[in-house]
Amino acid sequence: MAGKQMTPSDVVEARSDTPGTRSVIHFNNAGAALMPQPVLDTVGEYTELEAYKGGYEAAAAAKNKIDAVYQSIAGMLSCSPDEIASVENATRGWDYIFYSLPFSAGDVVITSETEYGSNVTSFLQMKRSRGVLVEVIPNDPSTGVLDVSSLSNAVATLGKQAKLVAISHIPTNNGVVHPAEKIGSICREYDIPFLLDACQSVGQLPVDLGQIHCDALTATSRKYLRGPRGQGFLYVNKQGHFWDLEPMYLDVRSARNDESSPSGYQVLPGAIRYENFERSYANWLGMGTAVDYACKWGLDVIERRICFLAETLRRRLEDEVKGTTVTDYGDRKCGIVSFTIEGVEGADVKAALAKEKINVSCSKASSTPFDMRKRKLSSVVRASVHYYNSEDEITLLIEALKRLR
Amino acid sequence: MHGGYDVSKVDPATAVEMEFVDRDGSKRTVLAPEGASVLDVAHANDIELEGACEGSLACSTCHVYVDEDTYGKLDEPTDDENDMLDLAFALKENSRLGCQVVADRKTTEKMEITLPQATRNMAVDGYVAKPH
Repeated sequence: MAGKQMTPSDVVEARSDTPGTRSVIHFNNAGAALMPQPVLDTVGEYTELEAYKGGYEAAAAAKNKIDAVYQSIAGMLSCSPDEIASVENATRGWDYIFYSLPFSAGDVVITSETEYGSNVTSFLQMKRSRGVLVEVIPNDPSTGVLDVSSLSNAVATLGKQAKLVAISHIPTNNGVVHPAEKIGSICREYDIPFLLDACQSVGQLPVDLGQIHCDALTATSRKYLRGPRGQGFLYVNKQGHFWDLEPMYLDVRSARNDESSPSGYQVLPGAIRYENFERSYANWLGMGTAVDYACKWGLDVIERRICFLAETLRRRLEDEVKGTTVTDYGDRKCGIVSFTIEGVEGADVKAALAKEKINVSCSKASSTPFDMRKRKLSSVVRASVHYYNSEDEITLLIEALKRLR
Repeated sequence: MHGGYDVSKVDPATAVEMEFVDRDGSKRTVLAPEGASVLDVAHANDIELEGACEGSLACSTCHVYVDEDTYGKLDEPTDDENDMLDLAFALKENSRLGCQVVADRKTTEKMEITLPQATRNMAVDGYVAKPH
């Protein structure tokens, strides 16, 4: 991949900024990445400030910094700050949109075969409660990514019956990166709302909303962004279908009493309608620091390093660890590396590596139900790399895996 | 006598300009007599900078941020100052203890002192500072 690379001294700097690299070998970035020191400092200092000044008083004093996070996120994604809402976590943000939609019996939700288990459960709940139908778009076997011609056919055939396209940019269990730009184009052409779950993509590659048309995007702080847990954000396209949607929950932040209106209340304009009054400002500010820190490196530079490390790991797994099958597919891959080892359960691989302070995760079938059932897999081991991981750490992982058999 | 000097008696001809940026972002420029510490200058001008141990290097309540230009010109902090600075809230690269930075025409002209948002006020050897 051409373009600016992280130099060896950049990697040293990234690692010395990451205190966790002194104690663990962390290949669970797709679960929750190690936070860099600046993020830790922001969260700790703001919490302390609340203790000294009072929670509301600290928020008032930090107003400019709190507002600046909307700017930072908007800058990273190329959208505007009023299109961003703070949410407790990405799932709650996704739920806010999904469960606020006025589905009725016979409406179709279109999704991918690698869709995340949580989202699938929500589809099934909506199926049971409102009679919604679910249409699953398969991957193109020749490219490994979502088959966009199959998606086109589905939306053309379904017409007005298709009420939502809900797709995860990168699945939880695989290194594939779906063509969000092409999916967005199709949705725009057919005027179908597109909800993009970008949990695994934000922070590991450039996500440019000037290129990807979607009606909403959900993201989490704790994965590739390297922010604190318990925080996410929601993007709502001001030209899109969800800008004027009435959220199913309202509070003093998102609406105000209005005796002059027939309903007695008015929902506030903008993405703010999807926010709650109560939120963790420490985590919001921490996520803001994480966004700035990522943008300082450059998302394209980050992607290059991550892809280099992931390819290195995939190659070494196949070349050096007997009985290993790398289970990633796709013309375009990212930092998630998934594999199975013959004769060793995924959970046992994870446990054995943990004894050597190597963190990986084990992705179960229920997390990616359609895909895992199709491939007849009960679990895959997931070793997800980030730019602060080193090639030496990959060697230690490979050596430890060799010792398993 | 706390603060050590009377602001009305500061000689403008020999004084050093010092700018304070308060916690709400507001700025105040004052004239400091040479040799006066940032803590002295703050107290003489009713700027809220606590000095719980009264400049004896036994706390971090007079923690301030010095503008980068001036920071580079100051003498390095002593080990004793660094030990107390380590306990300060929101420590940064340009942190110093206000009781250890003194006004000097050669190095601190137009120095900008920013007050941190909070201080960690631990009781020092059982001593509890009384309001001045």
